[in-house]
Amino acid sequence: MTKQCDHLADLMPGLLDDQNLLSPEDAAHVAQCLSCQAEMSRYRRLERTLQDLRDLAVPVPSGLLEDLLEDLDSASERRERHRIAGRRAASLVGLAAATAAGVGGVLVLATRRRSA
Amino acid sequence: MVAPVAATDVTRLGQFEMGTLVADARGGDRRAFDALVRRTWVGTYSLALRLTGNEDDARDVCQEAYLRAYRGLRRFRGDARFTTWLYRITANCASTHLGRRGRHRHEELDDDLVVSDLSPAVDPVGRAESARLRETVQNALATLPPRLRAVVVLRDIYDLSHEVIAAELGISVSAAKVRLHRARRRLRDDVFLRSEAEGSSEEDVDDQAV
Repeated sequence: MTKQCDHLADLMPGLLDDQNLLSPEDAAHVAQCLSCQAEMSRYRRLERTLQDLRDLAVPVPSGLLEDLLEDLDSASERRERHRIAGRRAASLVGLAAATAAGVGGVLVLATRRRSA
Repeated sequence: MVAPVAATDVTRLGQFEMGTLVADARGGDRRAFDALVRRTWVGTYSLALRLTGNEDDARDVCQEAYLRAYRGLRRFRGDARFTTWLYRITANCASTHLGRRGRHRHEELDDDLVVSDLSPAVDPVGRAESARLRETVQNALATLPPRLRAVVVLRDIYDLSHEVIAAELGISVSAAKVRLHRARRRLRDDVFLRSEAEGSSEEDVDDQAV
């Protein structure tokens, strides 16, 4: 192991994302260093194996899908209740505003008649 | 527990079909969202399991992720794949969940968690070797601290960008890269160096026996 081997050992985990981390001098060293080649090979195998894991199946718990859909049903119902409650509240506010406007109008008319 | 199901069923579906379902679900069609759940839940659960290393936690994370996705579907702009968006939510939920629990799991994967290989390989010896390596990698992943495991799972298995990983885990991009670097080194040590050391010590015992 040389100093350059140590330097490359530090770089190698990052090489999986960015090959440009390897300078021409580093590349030349790897080309003639069996130890660095072996190290690079380990990381490559690790990378391939991790990528393979995505395509593997895991045992899924029974009933989970049903639970997910039930949770969504509950969330939908809550959302609908909020929507209806919001509409009712808006209607009540509208009704209250209309009533207030009506009462205000009557009061204004009454005041004008008195002053006339 | 039911039989393993391929985590990549969704990839066999046309993205067009997924896009239509997403559009309908965004328009308020619950049945369309249910269809999305049916097509993605195995992949989502798999990610949650890999991030948490525990079936109960994975189940909780999966449920929370779909509720968040349902509530936030209008915010999904469609500039990424739906599954990628879902993986981001799942990663965020797992991070929150594990943070809330305030514990770090280092236990080995249960036997039940060893995944089965559904992809056929031509070479039986190579297939056996690959299967052994996958199992070793999975065991090594399970022993990583959750904060290191999260970045390597999201980057190297699910191919999310450093920026996305950092955003979902609530850390800086440079911190995500440092964690990834450490995680890969630890995996490399656990997967290769220990097995090589064990192999050589077995050889030593054999030599002494002779």
